[in-house]
Amino acid sequence: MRNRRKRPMIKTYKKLTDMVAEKSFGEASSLQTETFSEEIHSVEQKIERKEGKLSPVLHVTVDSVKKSLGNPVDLIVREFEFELQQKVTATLLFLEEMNDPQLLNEFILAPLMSLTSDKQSTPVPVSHALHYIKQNAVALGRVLDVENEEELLEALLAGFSVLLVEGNTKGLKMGTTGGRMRGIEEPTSEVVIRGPKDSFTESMKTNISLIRRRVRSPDLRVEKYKIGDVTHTDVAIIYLDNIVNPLLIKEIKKRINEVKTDGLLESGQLEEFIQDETVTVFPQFMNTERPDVVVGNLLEGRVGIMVNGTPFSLIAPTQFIQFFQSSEDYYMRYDISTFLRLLRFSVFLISLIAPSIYIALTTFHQAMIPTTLLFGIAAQREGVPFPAIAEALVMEITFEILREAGIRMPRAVGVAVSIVGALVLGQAAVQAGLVSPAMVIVVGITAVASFAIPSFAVATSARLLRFPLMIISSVFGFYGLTLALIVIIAHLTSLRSFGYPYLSPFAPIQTQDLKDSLFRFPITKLFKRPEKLAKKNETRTQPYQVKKKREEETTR
Amino acid sequence: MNFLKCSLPLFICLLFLTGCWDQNELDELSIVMGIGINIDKKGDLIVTYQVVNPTEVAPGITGAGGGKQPVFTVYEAKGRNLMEATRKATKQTSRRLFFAHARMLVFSEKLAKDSIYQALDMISRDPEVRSTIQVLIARDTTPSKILRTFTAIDKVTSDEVATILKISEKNWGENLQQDINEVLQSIINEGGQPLINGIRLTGDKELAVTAQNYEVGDPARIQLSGMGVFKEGKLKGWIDGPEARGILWIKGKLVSSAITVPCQGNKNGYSIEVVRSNTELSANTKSNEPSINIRVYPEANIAEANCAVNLEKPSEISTIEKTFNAVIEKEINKTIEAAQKFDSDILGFGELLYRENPKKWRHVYKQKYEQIFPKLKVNVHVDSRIRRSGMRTSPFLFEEKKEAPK
Repeated sequence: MRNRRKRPMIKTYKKLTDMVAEKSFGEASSLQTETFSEEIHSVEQKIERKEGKLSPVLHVTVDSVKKSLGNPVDLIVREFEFELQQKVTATLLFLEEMNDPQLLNEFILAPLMSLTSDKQSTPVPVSHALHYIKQNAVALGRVLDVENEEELLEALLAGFSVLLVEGNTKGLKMGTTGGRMRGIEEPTSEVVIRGPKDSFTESMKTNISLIRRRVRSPDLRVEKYKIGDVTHTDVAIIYLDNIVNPLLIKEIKKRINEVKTDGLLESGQLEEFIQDETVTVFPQFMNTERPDVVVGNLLEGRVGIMVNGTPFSLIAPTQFIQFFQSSEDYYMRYDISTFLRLLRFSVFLISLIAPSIYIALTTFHQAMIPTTLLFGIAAQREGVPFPAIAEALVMEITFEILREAGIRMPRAVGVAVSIVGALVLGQAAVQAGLVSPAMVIVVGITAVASFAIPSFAVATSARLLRFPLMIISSVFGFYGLTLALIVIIAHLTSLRSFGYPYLSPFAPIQTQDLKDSLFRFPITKLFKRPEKLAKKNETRTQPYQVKKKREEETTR
Repeated sequence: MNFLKCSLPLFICLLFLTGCWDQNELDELSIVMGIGINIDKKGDLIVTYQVVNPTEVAPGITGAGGGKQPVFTVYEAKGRNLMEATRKATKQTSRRLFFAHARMLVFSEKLAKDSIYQALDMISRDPEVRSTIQVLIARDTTPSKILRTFTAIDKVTSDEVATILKISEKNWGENLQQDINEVLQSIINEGGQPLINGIRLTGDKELAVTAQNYEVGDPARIQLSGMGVFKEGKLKGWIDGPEARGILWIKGKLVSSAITVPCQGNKNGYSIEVVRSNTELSANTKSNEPSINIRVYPEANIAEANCAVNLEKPSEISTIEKTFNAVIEKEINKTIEAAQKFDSDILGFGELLYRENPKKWRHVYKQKYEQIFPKLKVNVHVDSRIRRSGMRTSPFLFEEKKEAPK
């Protein structure tokens, strides 16, 4: 039990691939032998292509590309001629809508087509055409050589345009990536009143630029990986080299490299692949769509992980307490931030145990209810046909249904849902004597509390744990509830996020870090970065002297 | 891990197979607010339970036929002991009797004279009954009558009585709240004897037990009445009026009170409002005949002055202080006399002696405390301070006199 950092996801993956292999083999054998042999043939071709260079004959290469891609409708093959020593035929290949047509037209086609060798003192031979074009004609920043067909295909699919010239065994890939993407908008899941209003988009390039703009440090490192055998999704890890623990980076890289999957669509999938513990309801990564949150975490020595195609980037390692902190805490005064953090934490507790407390109190510990309140609750319970636990379960499940309906529902119908929900839950159920009004209050406060937790991820764990807790407290009362809470806390202390204790700075206790945990000390008092995370570069600010000086001066 | 996985189904079974321990839905409970204990000729206990009807008591609950049922109902059962009677009562009740919110335990005078010991053990042993339940004795009436009386302000009698006790102790100081814990403590204390509040029924006793009681302007009321002095668990007699206030002075429990002090021939001239008081007790155990010193330091305001005095003069205030001291001393001395007459150490002097000199208590005093206590010398010293005189200094009677010569 001591060395418990397991990698269950990798294991599962191995199992999965085995299964896939078996499956495909079985299917193939049931197919006709002809298709089977064809498959083998195409595999052979692939191997051949990988090794070979590009054919100098244009249409051979183009045909081969077309064949590999299955002759797609959005593959544009633009043939044109230009003049060097003699007339040269060239082909521009690109996938429509993945490229910026303006760039293609103005900076590739226009200069190339008007190209003449007149300016040159010595005419350029055809075999040097590509180099010449790269140096003189293409007015773009990202222009690279393509050596073989595999690279060519990859470049095309990544949104490059590829230029092939007759008689050359290389091609040029040019960064004309464009097409329509969602613009930078306000964050939808982490709204703040005070603070930056931009959020990540689906484009990783944009996201990285958002961070670059905030951190003008040469120490900012962005490293790219490709995950997904089919999707080839770009994944980037971002960190500050002078702060972060190099071992952490090594571990993250290792885990990312170990991920083998066919496709990666969202950071949530990556999260499941690289997390420490699978059997838990608690999120082991913080996700955010706010660039300022990522930067704030980089400064603490954490690492941001971005996945192309989703605005949610991951923060690793993550501590439990981070889910109760909002970026706004650092933008507002420390007193109100502290108050809000304490509030959020108690709100988490409420959403976790409020129904359980109600059940335990009314079915086991009636002696603990103040007498007058007891009369009230007893009078309400009078005539309710179900025991408190049934009542609570029914109401909680009804609420979960309403919430789920509200999320997936088209916006126009949402009003209807809320009206029906409010009436059915609030009024009718009570008037019909199905549930007691006190129960409605409890469910109501639980629901509102769960919305007040800034992190959706941790709100869901409270949501899940609520039900077992309710059942336990209906069987064992406060005794069971206390035991269950102890188990939950023990579980939390056992969790690790990339080897960092989940409950730190509380367990193990780190006194310096406590300053920025449930409380937020004034920013001038937060001298240190998290102790374990940023061993390399611990000091965040020097003890702030200027203000003191200023005060002294004014008092004089 | 494997072990955990295997045992998971067992844990789940544990949840559902163990039964629900002492689970009770709220609508399966009868909330008992008051318990009354009487004794019949054969020596069996007659136990009365006052059970609340929550629908009638709870504020703002509509429906469920509000106003048609009484706010409480009373069950009565006989038994050779308390537990027997309690369980026997289920012959009449549709729900389990639930004692955690009981606020009042009333003994009949008959039982008190016989012995209260037979009824105290179960009440203090049962985990459900709170140790803060107030103990009382029904004076000139039975517990069953008291528990059947409808009250006007608080809907439940027991609730009202417990509140009366609290308010009266704080504002008048002739009664001392005695919960079951304190009663037992005073029995256990060295040489100590319990002291229990009395309540009586005043007004139309026939009307008291009907719901009309709170519809008339002048209903039958329950009223605190003195404190019962016990010896060896038997009621010996009552201490009433200012003598009862002496008990609070001695125990240092007096929070506030109004004390009448004579003034210039007007016997009831001043009313002095005590605002706080401090009591110091000490014992002298040097000789075989011990003595007790009581020092009381009350702080007070003048609440009424019905004679022509010049309260602006400090000398006048100190005169009042002196007479005030004398009045309190007299009250305290009367209390001690009464206790000594009953030969019942309700004031905790025995415990005081024990704390002062445990060895001597054990070897010398304890055996003959019955003889020592009635003759125990008690020195009472009161040193009061009068701080304020309300919104005016001299009374209008004095102002009138002052202006007359002009």
